[in-house]
Amino acid sequence: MHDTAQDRIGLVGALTRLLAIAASVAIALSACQPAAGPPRTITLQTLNDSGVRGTVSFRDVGGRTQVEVHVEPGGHPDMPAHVHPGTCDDLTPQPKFPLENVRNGVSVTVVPASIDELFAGGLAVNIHKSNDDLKTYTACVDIQ
Amino acid sequence: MRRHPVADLTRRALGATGTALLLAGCLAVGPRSTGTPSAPVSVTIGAAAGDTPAFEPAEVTVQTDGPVVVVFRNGSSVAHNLVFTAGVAAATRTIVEPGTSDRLVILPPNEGTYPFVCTIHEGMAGVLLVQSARSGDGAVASHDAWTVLGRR
Repeated sequence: MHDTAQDRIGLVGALTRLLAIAASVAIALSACQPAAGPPRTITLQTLNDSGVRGTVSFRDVGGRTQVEVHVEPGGHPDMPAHVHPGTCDDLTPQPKFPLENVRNGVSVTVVPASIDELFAGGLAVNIHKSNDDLKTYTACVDIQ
Repeated sequence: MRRHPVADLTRRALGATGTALLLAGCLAVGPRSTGTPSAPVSVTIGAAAGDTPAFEPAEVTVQTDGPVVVVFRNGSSVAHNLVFTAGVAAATRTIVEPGTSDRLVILPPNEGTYPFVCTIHEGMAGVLLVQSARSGDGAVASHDAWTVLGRR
C-alpha cells in the first residue's frame, strides 16, 4: 500500500517533468519560425498638383506581397493604381501588376511576387487621376 | 390571458419581417411601375488575346428598354477590367484575371452611347450602343432612378 502511494507520486512528478519539457520544446520551436517582420513603407511623390499624399506599404503574406496604399486623396475618390516596370521618370505604360483602385484613399491588393522581387529594382507604383483619365498621374514612387 | 413574452416577441419579429419584405417588394417595383418590364438582354465582351490590349468587340449594339447583362470574358494572358465611364456607374472587379469572367447588370437610363475602358491598359476602350426596342415610334426608354443594378 505504501509502495503504491510512492509510485503514484513518482508518476505525477514524471508527467509534470514531461509536460514542462514539451512546453519548452514548443516555445523553442515557435521562436525558430521565420517572422513576417514589419511592412516596408515608402512615401509617394505628389504629381501634377494633385494633392494626393501618402504611402505604400509592402507586407509579406506567405511569399506573396500585400500592397497597401494609404493617401489623402485630394478630392480624387476613385484612382486606378498599378505597379509598372521602370521608374517614375521613365515609366513603361503596360503595368506589371494591377492594384485595386484607391477608393477614398485606400487600396489593398495581394500581388503574386515576394517583397524581395518587388524591391529588386526597376518597378514603381503609379496612381492615376481617374478611370477615364489614366493619362494624368497623381502620385508615384519608385520601389526601393 | 397573459401572453408569453417569447411568443409575443416572436410574433413581433415575424410582423416586422413581413413589413420589411413588403416594403422591399414595393421599392423593387416602384420605379418600373410604368410600362412593361423588358427582359434582360445579354452581351459578351472579351479581351483580345493578342499583344495589343483591346476589347473584342470594341463596339456592341443592343436593342432594349430594360436591363443589359454584360459578361466580360478575359481571354487574354494579362489582367483586364471593364469600367463604364459615362451614363452608368458600373464596373467589373478591378482585376479580372486571365481566363476568368465577370458579369454586370446595368439599366441604361436612355438610348445612347455608353463608353467603357480598361483602367489597367490606357487606350483600351469600347462603347455600348443602346437603342430602344420600340424604335420607330419615337419612344425613348427612360428609367430615371434605376441606372445600375449590378456591381460597382
